[in-house]
Amino acid sequence: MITATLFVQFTLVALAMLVITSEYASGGIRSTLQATPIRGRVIAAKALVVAPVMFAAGVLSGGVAAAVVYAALSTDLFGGYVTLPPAEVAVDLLRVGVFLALVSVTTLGVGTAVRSAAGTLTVVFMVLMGLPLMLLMTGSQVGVEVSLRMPLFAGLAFMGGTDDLTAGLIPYSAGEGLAWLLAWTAAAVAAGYAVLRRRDA
Amino acid sequence: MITLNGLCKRYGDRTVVDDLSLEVRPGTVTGFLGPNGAGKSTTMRLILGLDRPTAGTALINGVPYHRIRNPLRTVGALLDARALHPGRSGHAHLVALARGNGIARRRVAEVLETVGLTDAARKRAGALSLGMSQRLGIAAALLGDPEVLMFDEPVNGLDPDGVRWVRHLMRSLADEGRTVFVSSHLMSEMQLTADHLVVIGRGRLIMDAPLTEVIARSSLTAVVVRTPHAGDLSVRLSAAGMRVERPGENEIVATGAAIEHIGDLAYEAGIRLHELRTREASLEQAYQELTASSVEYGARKAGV
Repeated sequence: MITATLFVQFTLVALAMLVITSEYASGGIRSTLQATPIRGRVIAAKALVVAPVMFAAGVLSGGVAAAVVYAALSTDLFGGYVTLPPAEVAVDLLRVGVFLALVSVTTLGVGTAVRSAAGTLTVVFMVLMGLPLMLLMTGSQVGVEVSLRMPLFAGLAFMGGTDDLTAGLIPYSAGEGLAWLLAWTAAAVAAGYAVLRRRDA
Repeated sequence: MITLNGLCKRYGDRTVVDDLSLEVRPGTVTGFLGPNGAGKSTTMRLILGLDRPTAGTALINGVPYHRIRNPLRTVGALLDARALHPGRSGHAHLVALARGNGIARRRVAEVLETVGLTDAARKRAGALSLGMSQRLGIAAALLGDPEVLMFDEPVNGLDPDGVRWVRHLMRSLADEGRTVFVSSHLMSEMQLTADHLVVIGRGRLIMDAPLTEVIARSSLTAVVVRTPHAGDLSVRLSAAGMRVERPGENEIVATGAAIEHIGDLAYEAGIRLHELRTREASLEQAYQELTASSVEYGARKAGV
């Protein structure tokens, strides 16, 4: 489920992106800023909508996946080989929700800074997937260290996916993973806010 | 009241708005004129805080736009009628604006009624014609019952009925004591609507004066005199400091003096007049004289 989340995230990223890029595509941003000229309020309002919606979407889609697995496990085919303790699943689902909410708000920040849909998608894909993998493949000490602190591995650490995929590669705890995720989100939102304040609409 | 103080906007080395200082007063319709690219729309965007000025300030009732609480209740503006999400209905768009600015929901139905869009209000905004979008934009401007209104080319795409309606609307808004600032390049329209004119060219202020004064100052506003003693009279008028032309044997066209003055001079000299009348320049003529040197995107003459 954790690994799948890393692919599912781009569906939600595309949706979160539209919250701001569609305004620039249609010119609606000018109506928005005319009605709410305080830039910080515009970004905060959008983040307050995006975060809970994406959290719910993450928990729900994760829940559906868990239910399917549960159903499969209760058939004779897999019976007894694997167990799925409900309490752990619930915690995992919440973490998936938080991860997706943070990634979506990051996307909102990038979208506010970049403005175009294509540009936003490119930047967000590079930050979430492209760059960390490329840095990892360079094999250089610095590259790997940076890569491990980008949202991909920070998210894996936070969601507890370290065991099966990265096999002890990530040198920090789930809590620190969350901290790195929050830092990336904050940086993206700060960049978006700076551009929204300074650049002409 | 809109107050511009040394307002400047530069894009790289291109100056779009150049040291603009003026006041737009309440109770009048102020026409905002200038050739394409003169900086009219940019000026309006600066007033609304959509663009950041390079220098100077644009204030509304003494404060910058972003400092106004619930700005739609103080300033209503139509800049680009298509600047909204095309998938949203006009009604939903207005409801969203109203909610964000603490405007009573019933105002939405009221303004839709005012602009005659009640029937089309549930259609996707993207499916509206240009004229209908324009009406929706005017509805959005009126939504908060604001004391300051700005319209950028409001009659764009409107049918003749719509044009007349807009003219009427501008007048009645000003008569209610509101500040009305309208840009247009339809001179005949402005001549009918505006009390006061602000003319800019290449971002600079060319004129800020009442409509009547702009027309009176034009060299094409003149006094036409018909008299059998045109030669004698034209000498006397020239001596009194007027510019005099003789388009015909018995005709004089004089500029630079009041019609009463000419009548008195003729009377004192005992010269019989067969005709004495003022020929007023149209706003279009006066405007062309004012902006002749600052037309940025003038069309070249055919064949050149």
